[in-house]
This record gives sequence, structure tokens and C-alpha cells, in this order.
Amino acid sequence: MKEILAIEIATPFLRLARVEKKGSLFSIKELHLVPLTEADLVKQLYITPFKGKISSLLSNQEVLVRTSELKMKKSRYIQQALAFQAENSTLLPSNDFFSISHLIQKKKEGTSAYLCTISKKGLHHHLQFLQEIGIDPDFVLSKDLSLTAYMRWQFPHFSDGFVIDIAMNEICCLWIEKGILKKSYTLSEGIEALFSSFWQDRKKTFLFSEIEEAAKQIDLLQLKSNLNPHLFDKLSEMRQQISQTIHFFHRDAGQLPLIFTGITDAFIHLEPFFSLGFKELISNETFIRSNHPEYQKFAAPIGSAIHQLETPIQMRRHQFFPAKNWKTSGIYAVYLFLFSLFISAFFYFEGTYLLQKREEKIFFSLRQIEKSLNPSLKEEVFKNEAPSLEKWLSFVSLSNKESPYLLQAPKVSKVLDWLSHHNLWKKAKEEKEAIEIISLDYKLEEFPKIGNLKAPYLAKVEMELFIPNATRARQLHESLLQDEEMIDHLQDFSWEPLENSYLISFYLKNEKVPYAF
Amino acid sequence: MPFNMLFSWIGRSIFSKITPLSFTLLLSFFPIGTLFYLMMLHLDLLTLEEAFEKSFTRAKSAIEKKERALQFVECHSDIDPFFLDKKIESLDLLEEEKKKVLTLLEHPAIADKESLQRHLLFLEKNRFHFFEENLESYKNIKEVEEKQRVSVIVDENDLAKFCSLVEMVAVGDHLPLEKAPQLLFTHFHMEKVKGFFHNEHFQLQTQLLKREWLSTEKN
Repeated sequence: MKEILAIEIATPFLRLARVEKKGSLFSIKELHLVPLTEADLVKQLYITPFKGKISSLLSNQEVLVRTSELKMKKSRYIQQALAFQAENSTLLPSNDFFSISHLIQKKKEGTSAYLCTISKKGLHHHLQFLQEIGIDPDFVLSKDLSLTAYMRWQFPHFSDGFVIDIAMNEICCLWIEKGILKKSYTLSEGIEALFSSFWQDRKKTFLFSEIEEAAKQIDLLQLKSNLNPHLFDKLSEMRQQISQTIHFFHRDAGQLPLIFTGITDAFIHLEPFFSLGFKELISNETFIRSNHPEYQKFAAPIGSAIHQLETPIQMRRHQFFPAKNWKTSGIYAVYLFLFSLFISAFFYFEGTYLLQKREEKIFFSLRQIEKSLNPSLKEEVFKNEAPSLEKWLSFVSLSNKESPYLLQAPKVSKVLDWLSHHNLWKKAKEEKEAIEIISLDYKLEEFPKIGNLKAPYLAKVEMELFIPNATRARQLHESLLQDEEMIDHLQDFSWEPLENSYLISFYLKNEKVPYAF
Repeated sequence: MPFNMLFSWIGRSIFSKITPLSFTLLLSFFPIGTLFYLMMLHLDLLTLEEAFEKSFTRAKSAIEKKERALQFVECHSDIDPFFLDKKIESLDLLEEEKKKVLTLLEHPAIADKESLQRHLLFLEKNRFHFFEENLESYKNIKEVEEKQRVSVIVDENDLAKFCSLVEMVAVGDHLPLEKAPQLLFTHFHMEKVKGFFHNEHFQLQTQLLKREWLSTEKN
């Protein structure tokens, strides 16, 4: 639920309306007419338990509102286009005026918006006046927009028409089309001017304070100029101005219905009197009235509250922005900032705590490993310092290869042993057809040494054998070709029969585990 | 009140310059920045955990290899610098044959002692002699090539003893010695020859690579 207290300055009174919005429904909670001398009473309305905002009405004489149509649909550019239009569609000096835009509706064909040009001086005086009586409004809205909002709410079927609002200090004439303010004009005099004129005519009879009551007895349709010359002249002047305004609207609007709001009961037949000048321009003979006649007088503040509850317009911009709003936003900013820091700190400490736990787990395992190592290896890995993961990982990656100094090629003694215990060799010996070594040459063709520690071990054996018969030779040849123990079949293997012997050469297969000692 | 003025100043300073959305994005920088930082730490730690996990599977093999290397170096450190001279070049080759020749020389029935004398002379000269070449050193390792000056004649027993000493393996009854430098056969050439007494001998020509570690520093 949201609520707004709207205040209209209707010197010598303040008109107040408190409006609540529940869902999409508006309800008028309070209407007050407070004399300016008793402005302290207003405070009672917006202190606790009131939790809503305060909106005030700025006279139309300080605001110029125009409607703009933009053939744009993308909202990203609309605000920029409207801001540009608002700044550039007036010739009024920017030192004394500022402009704002307000989106009304987006349609398929385009977008419509209000462009409001506000007098800085007028707004300043308005706010200063309210400050003197202890009121600091959260919003400021122009009267014509307020009345338009009132019309939309109170007379939903009244989408096109003229509205004349009669107030103490001004008379507003509006042309509304499809529920949107099309044009407005404000006369700078209102009921108070009529009362002054009437008192001029009757000052011998009444005190000025009694004039209001006396005026309610005057039927304007029966008014004689000779009896109330000042009043008659003032009324005629006002009627003429209103007629001119309606004629002006009529040129574009055509014949439309008319509604009067405001202080229409100041004189008898005030409405028909004013409409005499443009009767043919309006379509209704009887004047449209609300079911709640009390709302009529408070049309402007009610409309202001409704507009701000629906689609708030903020005319308090730049240096006029409410200080309490800055304070509120400052408080929110500080809270959000602290909250952000708090959340960050929470993430940081919680996160680092969890990460630290995981790290400790690793170090615990590392310490277990350290305890299991023999002392020389421990010294080799951790160099008498506290166990560190980097040293351990470095050790594992560097040490997971054999020292190049450990011989990986089969030794000469192993080759000789292999030959002497070879099945065929032993069998040949037993069968008195011994195979004899004429010569044996073992050479380390490649091996790691200082300056080239990455060289592989590559051992070659060349031997000349005496084999008594060809069958034995063939058997030995096949056996060597199938040997998986000593011979590296990825390298060259040669078998060359000579006159009385065989010349065999092959490369040795490196040991899986090198010789340590 | 000063706090009211302070909050007004803060609100005006911030929201007159930037939109609420921009302010919200600015505020979210702190928690997002923190989360980003923690994510980086988490990824680093994850990498470390994976590396540590992998190291377990390789650690056993790495430790074995390292221990093997350490023991090897310890075995070949602080060695007798005259090992080759004292143990290999001093070897008496063809001892049995020598004894036989000496016995025959003293036998009165043998008439032709000149050939025996010459053969005895040959047997006395039949020794391993090595000369050094291409000395290299790196950190605490000294490496040198040892080449046989002349080939020698050996029998099976001498061959077994020689291989046992050089390659530090047990061959028959011959056992390796401690405090020996690392010796590798870079070239081993053996040819069968007929001996003085028409027995089987081998002519041997070898080249060795000798390495020694000069201190207890391991690498």
C-alpha cells in the first residue's frame, strides 16, 4: 500500500488530499482546507503513522507543459531523444528555466511524452513558501497535469474534453485528448479577484471577511452591472478570457464536453455564466458532475496525489532536489556499501578458511611422506628445511628418471654369460658340435657423459663364430632373431656367412632397471 | 546534525553523478572481485592438489630411482685414486702358464730352454697398461678415458677376474671390490688365439671410461 499527501497552495488556504493506493485502486482518505495561519496542522498529517510521500502543486504560471510525439519504439533511445527535445524545444534562457521529459505511453506507431519547462525562480519561491510553513515536499507537479490525472480517475469515460478549474488565485483551462493533456492556459486571477471586486461594490455593507458568504447569495445570471459594477466588469473580463481560451482550443479540438472543477460554488450559476461566451463550442448542456461533489473542490490535489502514485513525475531536479531524499539515498548508499563490504569480507574469510583447510590437508600428507623417507633422502629432498610442496613436487618430477651415470646397457660379462648359457650353445657342446667364438667386439656406440648427459645407451656386439654345420647355424640364426632377452630388434641385425665362419652383429636391449652397483 | 549533512553530501555526491544502476554495479565490484580472487586461489590450489595427487603415483618410482642413484654415488665416492694401478694393472695374467714355464725351466730334461725363457719374458711383460685421455670434470665428477696401450693375452680365469674388477660383478669365484671408481667398457675386443702350449687364450684390447665422485655431494 502506498499513500501520498498532496498540498495545493490556495492562498489564504492550503488544500490537502491524502490518497491511498491498494493494488490498482485509489481511495481518498482525507480532504482538508487549512488556513495558512494554521499551517502547523498540516504537520499532524504527515508525521508517524503516515509513511507516504508529500507532493505539492506548482502553479501553471511557473510551468509550461507540451506534448511531444516521437516515432521511436526502442526505449534505449527514447530517453535520450526526449532529453534532447526538452532542452532544445524552448527559447527560454537555460539559466532561468530547466526542462524535463516524462514518458506517457509507448504505442506501435511511436511514443508520446510530456515536455515540461519549469521556471527556476517560480519553483524556488514555491519551495521557499512551503519551507516557511514547515513543509518539504518529496515531489512537485504542475496543476494542469494534476487535473488531467483527476479527470482520468474520476471520469474514466471522459477521454476528450475541456476542463476549467476555478481556484482562489487562478483559473486553469485545459484541453484533454485521449486522457492526455493537450493544451492548457491559466488566467492569473481567480475567485479572490472576484471577491475583491465584489467587496469594492459592497464595502459599505460587508466586511471583507463576510464577502465569501455574501457571494454565495449572488446569482451571476441575474447580475446587474449598475448594482455591482466592479464585480460585473471583473466577471466579464474573466469570461472573455476564458472564452478566448476555449475558442483557441476549439480550433483544433472541435466540439467537446466541458467539466468545471474547483470552487464552483463561490457564486450561484458560476459555471453557466462563464460558459455563456462559448456555449456553441461545448457538446454538453448539463455540466458533468462527480458522484462525490466534495472531490470537485479538491480536484487538483487529488489529481496530484493520483498522478504521483501512478507514474511519478519529479519536477524537483538539480539544485531543487529534496535534501531529505539526498539524505535517504546517502543512508542507503552507506548501508549498501557496508553490506557490500560485509559480504565481501564474509566471502573472503570463509573462502580463505576453506582453502586453508584444504592446504593443511595436503601438508599433513606431505609431513607423513617426510616421516617415511630415510634421512639421506629426506636431506636430499627437503635440504634440512621444513617440508614444502614445491620441493616435493620438484623432487618427484626431476627424480622420476634414472641417473644418466647408471649403466643401462647390458655389461660385457652379461653378454658372455648369455652366450655361454644359451640353449643352443649348450646343446651344441653336448652333441660335440661346439660353437666357438673366434672374436667378439663390444662397443658402447653412444652413452651419456659429461657434456652430453642426455645421450642414450647404445651397445653393439659384433662376433665371428665358428659353427660346425649349416643346420646349427640356421638354428642359431632363428634363435637370435627371436631372442627377446638381449637383442634389440628395433636396431640393425646382420648375419653374414663367411668362408669358415659367420659374422653376426646386433644391438643390445637396454636394461629396465639399470646397474647401480 | 552533522550526520544528516554527511548522508546528504554522500547521497548528492554519488547519485547526482551516476545512476543507481551504475552505483549498484560499483558496489557489486567488491563481492565479485573477492569471489574472483578466491576463484583464482581455488584454481591454484586445485592445480596443486592434482599435482600432489599425481606425485603419489610417481613418488615410489622416484624414490627408488633416487635411492639407487644415491647408493651408486656413495659406492663410487672417496675411492682409491690408484685403483686401476693397484688392482688391474698389477694383475698377474696367465699365472698357471707362468708356473708351468718356471717348472719346465728347472726341469733338467728340457734341452731347449731358450724359447721358455723368451716366453717367460713375454709373460712378465704381459700386463694391463692404461693411459689416460680426455679428462673431463663436472661439479664433483671426474671422467677420463683409459685406453690399453697394448693388447694382452689372457685365459678364461683372467678374463673372469678382469670383468669382475671392471664391471663390479661376481664372476665365478671372483668378487667385486669396494671403493672402486665406476668403470665402463666403451670398447671390448676379444680374439681367440692359440697359447704357447697350444691351449686356448684370448687376446684382449679394451677401452674404459673411468668416473669418480670426489666428495660425498650427490647428484
